[in-house]
Amino acid sequence: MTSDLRDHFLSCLQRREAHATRNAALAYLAESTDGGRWRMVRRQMESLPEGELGLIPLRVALLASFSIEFILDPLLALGMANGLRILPYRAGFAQYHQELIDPSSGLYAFRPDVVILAIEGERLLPALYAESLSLEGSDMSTLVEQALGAVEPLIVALRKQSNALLLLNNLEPPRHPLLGILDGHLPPFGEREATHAVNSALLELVRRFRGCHVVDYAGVVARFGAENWHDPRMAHMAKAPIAQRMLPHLAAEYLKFLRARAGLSRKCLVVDLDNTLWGGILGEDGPHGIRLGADYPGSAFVALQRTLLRLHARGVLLAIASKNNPEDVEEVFRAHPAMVVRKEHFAAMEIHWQPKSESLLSIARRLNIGLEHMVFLDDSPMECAQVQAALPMVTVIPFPAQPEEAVNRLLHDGWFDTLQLSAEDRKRGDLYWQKAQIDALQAASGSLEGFYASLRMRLTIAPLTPATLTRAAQLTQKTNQFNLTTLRFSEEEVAKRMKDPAWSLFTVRVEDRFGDNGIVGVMMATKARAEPLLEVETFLLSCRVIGRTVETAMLATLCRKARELGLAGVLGRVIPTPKNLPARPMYERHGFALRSDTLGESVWVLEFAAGEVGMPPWFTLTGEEHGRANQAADGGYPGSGTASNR
Amino acid sequence: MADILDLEPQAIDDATAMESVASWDSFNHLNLCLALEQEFGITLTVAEMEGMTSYYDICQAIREKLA
Repeated sequence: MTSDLRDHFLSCLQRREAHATRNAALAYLAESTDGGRWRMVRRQMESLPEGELGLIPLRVALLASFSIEFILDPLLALGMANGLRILPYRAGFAQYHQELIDPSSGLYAFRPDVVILAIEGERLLPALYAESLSLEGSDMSTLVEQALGAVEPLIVALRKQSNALLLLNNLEPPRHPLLGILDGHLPPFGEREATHAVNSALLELVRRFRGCHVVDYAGVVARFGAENWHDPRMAHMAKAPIAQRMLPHLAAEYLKFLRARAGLSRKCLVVDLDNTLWGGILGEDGPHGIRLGADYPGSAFVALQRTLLRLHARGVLLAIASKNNPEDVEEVFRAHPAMVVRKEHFAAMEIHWQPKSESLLSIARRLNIGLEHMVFLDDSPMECAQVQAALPMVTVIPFPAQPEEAVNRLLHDGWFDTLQLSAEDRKRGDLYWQKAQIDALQAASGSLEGFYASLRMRLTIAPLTPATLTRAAQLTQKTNQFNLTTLRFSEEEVAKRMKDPAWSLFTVRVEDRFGDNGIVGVMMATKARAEPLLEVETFLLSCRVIGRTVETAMLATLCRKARELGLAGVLGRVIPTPKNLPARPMYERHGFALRSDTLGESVWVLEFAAGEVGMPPWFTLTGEEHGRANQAADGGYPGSGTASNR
Repeated sequence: MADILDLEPQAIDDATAMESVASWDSFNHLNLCLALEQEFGITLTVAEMEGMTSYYDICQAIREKLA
């Protein structure tokens, strides 16, 4: 088995099959924490020419109070298996303070995309860990302040020099508190209690900075067991306290962040039905014979359904790919008392007898998401293999042999983890449900104008505010189809422009009779350099509201803005990408004249002397976006409301 | 051993030692010890690790462990 997986990996690699190689590496690495295979995969990866296998380069700096370089084999190997070519930077032993504070340090010369900062409790708070003989006379808030006082200047210094994503380990509680089982039972406070207080304070601290995250190191240690986690020999010989076979687990935790940073978070979970969403086979056991309910094994499938519902609540799209009779499935959704997920939780359903790869393709098309953002869960090894072979970019999770393991199998790798989660994200599943209803309405409605009017669309095109900043930056990063220039911006970059009077920034919110779509569009414009035109640099619209003339309303707003500024017209650019076909004809359709067309981009101009874009009559325009800032902020973690604290 | 130290297997003999091989630094020494533990299913003490500074010493130590 072992050598099979190894050979499979090497042969995929030799054929330079990008996705198959990554999948093979994942399978090979998942099998064992043996250091040799991680080293082998890393070396294979590093010997590839740059750009090979479509790996995304990511510059990762490792700063630690201990020898962290032993993590490089698992981190780089796992990075490759996840589609990343991690370029590491190692600071000298325990040099993290100097590296972060000194603007001319090697760290900043390296221009990191990500900085991992791992400081041990023993180093950060010696008074709490190794050195303390008694906590008497000290108080907990002083300890917390001491920890923050050591960490905060480092973050401030980093933020001055770099926009890198910061990953800060939290503290593992002392394994052997001074008072043993009495820890926390005597005044003034307990050692473990103090660690929790520090960890809470670290979370509070990073919330005040953009692009800073706490890695739950204590949680990872607990998950795999503190007794296994540490290797005292390595701690004493090499100041490398983490056991080698545990390092892949820590690397996997970092990978969750790195994947999200590289835009590789999965967005959609496609599940099979028989022996996956419930036990048994619907076609044989009947809608009331399937195993689903309070008793095992039905209880294990109920637990999985609850997990699906929780993923839905955080914005993961759910879909079904099943070979079944649609009427039977309908009957289960309608009548089975133990069903936790309902039809409206699924953004798409493919229930027929076609190959599952076709189902996944169809779901990807319907939901406008890339196959590389999809996870497929199925109990049949045959179906898993079929999908994996036909669509190697899909993440395939075979349903475990024992259904009670399904929840952990699904969540263990953090495929769906993201670095941001806006109120819109959380509603995403519902939005696709609404969109499906609208498509049905359009099919039934006669004239196009009548259809637009029947949607009763309310439009809020408002200046970008701190409350909408997170969402706006996120849209620039995620929108591919209706995106004229596909320029990506971090929150920091957008925030900078927000303060710059030369820029006009807008967000677009669309509500309709089916609900609130949230903020779905962003525009950024500034005066053209040498002519009296408003130059549109960024113009994008989420695919969920394409085909409703929202872009016309957006252009009308830009025309009005140009007039307000005393300009004579609007200039726009189109930078073609493989994905933005739907957006490319926009300027032409709205009467813009083509000024130039080179390979890289076309430039379009609308002079007011020649015409103007008017507001379509079927929109109701509402007031300023900041009137509803509370609504945007409540789910906009890391909170948009914190922007003023920076 | 050749893999970790980036040497040709035939280039390794009893005389191959930490002091004479550039790639055999303290970092790789620990990697080597951990790999030997896994390969032979043994657990080394700090003292044993510190003593295994040549191919000859390694063979001796493992033979003793396995005996």
